[in-house]
Amino acid sequence: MDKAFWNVLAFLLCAVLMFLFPLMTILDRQDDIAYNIVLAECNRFVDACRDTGYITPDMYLEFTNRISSTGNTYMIRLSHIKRSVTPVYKQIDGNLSFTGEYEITHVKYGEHDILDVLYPDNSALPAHDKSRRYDMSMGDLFFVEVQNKGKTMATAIKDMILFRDTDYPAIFVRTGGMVRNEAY
Amino acid sequence: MKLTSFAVIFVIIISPFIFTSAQEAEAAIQDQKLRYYYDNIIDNAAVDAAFILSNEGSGLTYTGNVKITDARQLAAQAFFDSVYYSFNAKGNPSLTARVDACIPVLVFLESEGFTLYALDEYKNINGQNEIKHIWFPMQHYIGEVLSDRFIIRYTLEDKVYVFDISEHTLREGDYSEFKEEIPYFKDKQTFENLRLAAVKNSVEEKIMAYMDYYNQWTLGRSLSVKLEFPSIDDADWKRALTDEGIIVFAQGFPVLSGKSYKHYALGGARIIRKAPLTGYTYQGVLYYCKTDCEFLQNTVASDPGFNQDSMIYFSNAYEAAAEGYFPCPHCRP
Repeated sequence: MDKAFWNVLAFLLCAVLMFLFPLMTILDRQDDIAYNIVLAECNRFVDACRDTGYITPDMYLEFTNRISSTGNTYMIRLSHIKRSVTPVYKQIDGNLSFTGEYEITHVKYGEHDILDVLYPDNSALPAHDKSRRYDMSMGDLFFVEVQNKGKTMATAIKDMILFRDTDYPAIFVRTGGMVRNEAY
Repeated sequence: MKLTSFAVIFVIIISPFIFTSAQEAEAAIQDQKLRYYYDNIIDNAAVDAAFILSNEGSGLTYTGNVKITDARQLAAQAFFDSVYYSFNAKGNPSLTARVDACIPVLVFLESEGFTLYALDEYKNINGQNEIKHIWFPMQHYIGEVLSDRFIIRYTLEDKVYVFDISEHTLREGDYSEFKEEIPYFKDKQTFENLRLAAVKNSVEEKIMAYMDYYNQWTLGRSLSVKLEFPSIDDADWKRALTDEGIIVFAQGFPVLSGKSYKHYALGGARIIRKAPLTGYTYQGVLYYCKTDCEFLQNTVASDPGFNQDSMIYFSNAYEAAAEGYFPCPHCRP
């Protein structure tokens, strides 16, 4: 009885120490590397878009290729916040009069709006065609948010051991800022 | 007991320690990521604001019969827009208020003085108290009293305003105009040191005074951020204070472990204008080159066959090439 107990315990510990522990460490490092790659690539893509003022299908494709080289699948959210300047009119007795002021409004375009331009339905057009380029203007804001879909291997194994269900992404990157150029 | 049993007991004893230290390391890594994320957002936004300042808002506002808006106002707005959208907080008043509370002070450095754009409480048009970023009056860069009689107001350039205490006169001009009366202004380096010290002290003093004031009125309110003046490297100060630009102080964003979050970002807005390019015709060929090109000055200009009237100026290489000029093979403009 005593010997059997120690044997079982030793077997379990061996399983944890020699299999799970190294595996988890490796997977954790893999997640770290994936995070770093995604962060670097996001920054690169966003900077390219902000410095040129447009997005082309080639830029987007290269970005998605590079981040998917990490082996995870990602949810990519692009958002383009368009600044538009509108004059402010006052209505006095049914007459509109210009107040001399203006107001800056923001219009947000999501990834559907952007991807519809990059990849139109009649995709006979070549990738470098001008109509497949998404243009932004100076002063607009452009953001990219990337998070992994589902669970990474490291999270999945940790969840299995600890009997929990992680519902937040292991890799989350959001970068962006103002568009600085209109180089089209 | 056998050796395996000892090993098993050893592992059982050691494993809680390994587990806790692994958790701590994990928290530290996540904390680092979070801080980097905040830094990135603040730096990016500061650069955006500086970009608007350096363009003086051109292209981002329409002119016409509308009054010319302050570039500063636009820059501040761009800064907060950028930060709000980065945190996905735009349109969510409680989140934007939270972000506002963590970025209480922006300092705009201008040639003649600096302006604070900082959180303060005021009564709005409906008589309610509101906490918002507002513009503080512009402050000048005042230095120490020199030779017991001159009070100097510095600018970010070589220009100074000198107030003579004994004669009650105020004069302005380049620092070198005063070198007879003020011995410190004899050499450029001493003047530069004095100017930097004056600018640094005035800015620091004002920010510290504001932080004290802020800490007092946040006492008892639900703003839990206590402002502290961050330690800024001398090199960073120097970089910030020689340029027109913007300094941002961000503090108190939530972090996972360690010290509370403190960050400052600098955005320089000075545009360094490159020297124009010179275009000329030499031996029947059109060339453009740098204005200080040695080949132009030594060989071309001294050639009797060179027509001085053929020299024209371009603001950049594209313009020159568009006119049919070739780049000079010697200076490679």
